[in-house]
Amino acid sequence: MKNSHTINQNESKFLAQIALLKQQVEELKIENSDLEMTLLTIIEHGDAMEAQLEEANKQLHAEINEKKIAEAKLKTMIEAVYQQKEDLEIIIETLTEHGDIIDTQLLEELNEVNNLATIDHLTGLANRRHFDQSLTDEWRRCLRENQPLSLIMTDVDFFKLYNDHYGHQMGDGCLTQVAQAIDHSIRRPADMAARYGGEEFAVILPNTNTEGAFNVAVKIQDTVARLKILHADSKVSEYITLSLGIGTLIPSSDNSPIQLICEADRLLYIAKQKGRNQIIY
Amino acid sequence: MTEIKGENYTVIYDSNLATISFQGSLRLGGMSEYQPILDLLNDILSKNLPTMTLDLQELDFLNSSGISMLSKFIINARKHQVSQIIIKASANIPWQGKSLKNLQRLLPILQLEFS
Repeated sequence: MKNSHTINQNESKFLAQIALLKQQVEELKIENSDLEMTLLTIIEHGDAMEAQLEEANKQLHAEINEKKIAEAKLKTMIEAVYQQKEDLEIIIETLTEHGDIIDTQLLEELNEVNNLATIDHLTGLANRRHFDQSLTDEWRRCLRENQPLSLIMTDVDFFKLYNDHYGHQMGDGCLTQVAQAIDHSIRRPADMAARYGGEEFAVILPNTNTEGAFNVAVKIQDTVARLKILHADSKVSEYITLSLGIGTLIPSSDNSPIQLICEADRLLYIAKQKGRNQIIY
Repeated sequence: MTEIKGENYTVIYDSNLATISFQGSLRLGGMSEYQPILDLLNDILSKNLPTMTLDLQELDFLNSSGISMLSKFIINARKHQVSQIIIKASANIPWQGKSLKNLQRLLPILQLEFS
């Protein structure tokens, strides 16, 4: 009885163990299934992530390419703009320098034209137009300063006969030499010698009284005499001589530059009437 | 022969010599008045000639719009990758010395010949 009872007890224990094992197996199966599910989930998730990353990578590459293309375009544009900037800088520099040169060129041309307009082509002295302007200017200046203004008018004696005898070319040469002699006889910057017309010359002497003007006239006469220009047909000398008239006045509202010219001209006429080769004042 | 003539200037294109000669004084008022000359220059440029010569030896005067027109033409020539451009200039005309050398900076292959 005791043995039978023991067997039953062992059987019960065994059955209980089997039941426990069965339960454990079931639990393990569930765990296994869970693990398989988890693994599958992880794999699928991994695949999805990989796909997503690949897609992101592709997009990134595309974006990088786009950026590279945009960068290249920008670089080309910057280069073009830089080239344009350089071109513009050169053009501005060219225009500026060109303007300066043209300005100088025009000024030189203007000076040349002014010279042509004021210089007597044959003798190089001031022409009649320049003389008129200078006499008016000096007359006004002496009027303001209450200073005397002298004018020498001079004529080459028997110049028509000189021309007839030696020809016009020699005549021109004679006038040029006389003009240079007159010009060398004046010293002060404001003094001015001019060809008044034909063989007649004029010398403006500002701030100069009759005595000062007479000294200049003597110097002119001497300088011309030293030239010893032969004049076979002259009735007063074997060389070229001058007749000179000196007018002097202190400019005022009662007189004018014309009056001064008339006075010097009148005295020149007297010098000629009295036999030429002399100074009348 | 193509000719553009104004009061004080003449621009002549001799196709046999591929030479455009400028003579006189060019004082046109602004770029619009220079356009016919620029058009002529650009037309010749588009023919892709091996050599193109601009003879400025008798062009005494060129105002600022004129030098601007020449600059534009030179830049256009660079874009066309023209093989050779010669500018014949005169050493006796003051503006040509400096201004034309500046054009060479825009187109280094530009050949300047001073007489």
